[in-house]
Amino acid sequence: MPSEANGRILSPYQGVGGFKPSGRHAGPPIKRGADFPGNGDKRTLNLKEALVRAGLKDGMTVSTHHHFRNGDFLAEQLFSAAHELGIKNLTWFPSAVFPCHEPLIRFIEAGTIHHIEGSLNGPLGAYASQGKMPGLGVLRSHGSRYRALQDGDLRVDIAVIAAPSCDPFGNMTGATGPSACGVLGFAVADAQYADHVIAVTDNLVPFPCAPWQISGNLVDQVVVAERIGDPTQIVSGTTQITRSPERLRIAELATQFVKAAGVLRDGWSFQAGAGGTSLAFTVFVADEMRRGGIRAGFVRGGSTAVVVKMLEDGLTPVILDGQTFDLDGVSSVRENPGHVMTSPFNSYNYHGKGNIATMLDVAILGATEVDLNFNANVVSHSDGQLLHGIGGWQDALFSKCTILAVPTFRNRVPIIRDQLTTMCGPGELVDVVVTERGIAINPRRQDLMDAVQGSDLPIRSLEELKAGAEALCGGPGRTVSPNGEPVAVVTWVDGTALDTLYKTS
Amino acid sequence: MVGGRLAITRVGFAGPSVRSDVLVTVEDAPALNVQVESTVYAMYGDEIRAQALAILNAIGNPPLQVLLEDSGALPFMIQARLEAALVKHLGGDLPALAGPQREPKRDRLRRSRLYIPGNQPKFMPNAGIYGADCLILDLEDSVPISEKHAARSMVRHALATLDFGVSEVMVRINSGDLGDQDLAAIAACSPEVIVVPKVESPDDLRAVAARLDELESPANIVAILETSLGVQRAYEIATATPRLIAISPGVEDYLADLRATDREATVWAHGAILNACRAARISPLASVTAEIHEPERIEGYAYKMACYGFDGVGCLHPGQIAPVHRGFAPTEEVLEEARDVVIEFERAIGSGQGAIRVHGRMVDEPVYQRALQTLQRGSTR
Repeated sequence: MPSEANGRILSPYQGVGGFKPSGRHAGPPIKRGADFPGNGDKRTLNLKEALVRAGLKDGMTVSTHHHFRNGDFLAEQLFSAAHELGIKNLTWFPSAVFPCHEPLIRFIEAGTIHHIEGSLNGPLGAYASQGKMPGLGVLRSHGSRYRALQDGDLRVDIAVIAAPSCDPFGNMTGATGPSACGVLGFAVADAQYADHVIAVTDNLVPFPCAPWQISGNLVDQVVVAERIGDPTQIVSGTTQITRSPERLRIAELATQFVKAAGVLRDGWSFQAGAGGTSLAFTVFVADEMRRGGIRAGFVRGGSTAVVVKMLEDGLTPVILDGQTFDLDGVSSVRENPGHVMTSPFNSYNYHGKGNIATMLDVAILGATEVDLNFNANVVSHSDGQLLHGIGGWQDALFSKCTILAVPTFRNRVPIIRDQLTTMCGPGELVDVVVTERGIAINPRRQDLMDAVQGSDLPIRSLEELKAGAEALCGGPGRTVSPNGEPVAVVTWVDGTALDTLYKTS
Repeated sequence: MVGGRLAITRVGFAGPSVRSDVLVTVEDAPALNVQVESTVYAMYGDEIRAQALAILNAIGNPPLQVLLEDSGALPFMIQARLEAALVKHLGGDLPALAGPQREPKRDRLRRSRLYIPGNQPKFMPNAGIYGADCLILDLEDSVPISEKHAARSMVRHALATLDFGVSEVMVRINSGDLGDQDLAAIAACSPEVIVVPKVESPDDLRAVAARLDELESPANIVAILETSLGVQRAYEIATATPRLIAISPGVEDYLADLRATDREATVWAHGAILNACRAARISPLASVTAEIHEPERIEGYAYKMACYGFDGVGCLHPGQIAPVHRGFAPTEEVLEEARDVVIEFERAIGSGQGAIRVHGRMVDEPVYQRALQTLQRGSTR
């Protein structure tokens, strides 16, 4: 375990709730309104000009948000501009990266970007895994990214915020405009904590852009660009319910479990997602709620057409939306007062005076590996490759009933293992593992065991599920032992270092 | 062609969209050389190589260049693909193989029969987890003619290796000579039922029964009637062999044979098969539903077939199973009576009585067994 990452000291993981920070939050520099145009017009000609005026220098940290998902154009425009300015060794602090960011590898190779601090997945994860990225990847959950800014783990020199609609003052919203992406929750921390904030929009509206999601009082400059995203990729086809029979079976078993356990009851709450199993679970529980006349207290999104329908049908009075996954979600954010934007501060933040995650009755999450003590991995595969970000996964583990919905094997590789390739989440926070071959309940949750006793659910031990998968797969396969240099650190929600990822060939 | 046989033999599939399969390429070479590429190489590369070398060693390490392009195939799939490739390249028979002995049962629930394409191994490992009453590993219509050999090898290894849970395991063979070869390949691996397609005469079934006798297989037979001649002879066919437990119509082929375009034209065939089966004391099973993703319509189809008198329907997707079982579920009133019969009869057995009266009706062992089946049908999982 490295004790420092990119020049900063890392405290080792001290258990759930073990680390007790003290002191005061970091904050942005003091500014005064008198230095900004009295007419409220903060427009700058273009992004390059804005970066110059913001004082972009070698070695600075710049940030972006990922609400444009796989349709983001802005990160590329940002680093192209920096590259043209001859700037070197930037730290990129995105809230997440997507496959569309693969072309940015050329800016790492050109030295414009030194390293990325943020969820590394897809092609950029593979690139980092091969040890090609200078500096160490620091993987944080969404809640922990917010915390890192509060703690001053790193300071964002310039935040560049893609704004689907924005006025000249910098009031912005993701709900309208040709590149509407729904909510802008992931950009809130950057707007509040960065030294300098640039809003980039392809839909300039007259003041005031109301209702705004992020206030223009936080914004230094406004840039109008031709296009900031591809709307068809901002909201990709996630609303199609999976046709994979295994995933449908897992979602069905998870639904039957929450029903049998008495968790699915009037006033309950859950976190909805857009992944195959998670979306199918949402569809199935909505059906159960319709049949049983059950209403939720709230649903936390990832919003999709499915949860929007729940809101419209009165199955929930409110969607607390952290990110919007489809066009139904976008129009619902715009039109339905019950569809409420949240930021990671509201949902997940470690320093917040409480957060939504601990109030959730159920969170359904994925995992790449689970060990026999219910510890789980979500970032790497058993061959050691870093392929996924943490997202809100660690944060949502704090729900009252955290369900990992996983197959017992994927592509021959058994998911339940003696040893995790990378430790991402402590087993004491994982309550249930639902697989296509049965449901394992954490022995710490005797209450859940008792609640489902007498049901016809296939309750199994993790050991049984593991043995079944290994029988099919021909054993657990070779354990890929860490050798070579570290490429990334997985941190816990409190910022302590949980595990290390190593270079793979 | 080299010496009367193909220079290169390929069995299986590889490519970016392929999961759970391996493409085996075999060609003549000065000496044996095995090459392994795999999406799971870091974890299973050594195992895959060792498995391939063991198979080749068992046949005397022939001078071949063998390439395995693996996409996460399970060990039984690798075994099946490599054996099929070697037999196709070198000639001879598939090596002997036997699996767990399954005991065919005449009477059981057959509400749902899920088809699994015989040359698509990715669907096989999980086939048993969905609670289908029956699974049909298919060697016939879902397998192109050029893949029959590969499918046979895959199906027999699936039979020998996999646990199919509560499901009865059937294999649909081809008609004619191909079917004969199918039986020779799979009979020792203990399928519970052989599904025989395109049956047109009692002799078709007697030939299959005789072949099963030779192969010492206790398997039962289900016949599919899918021509006008077959349907015309339904009763003769229904009484052809004691191995026959059920008949099902093959709707698409039948419509084509009739030169009909409206599915309503099958109504007479349905009636003929229902009547023949009941007269012969075997089970009438309805064809597959075309609806895949509309649970209400699938349930509606199953309910309609149940009302006609069929004991089950075919399924093409695991998601159809639950709605089909709901369609065949007895009413609450019938369930209530069955529960009483079971409780009272088990109590009577406990106190040494042989037959009793429940709701004014004599209840003996067969009535008790039917009540148990009714309760099973009531559980729609």
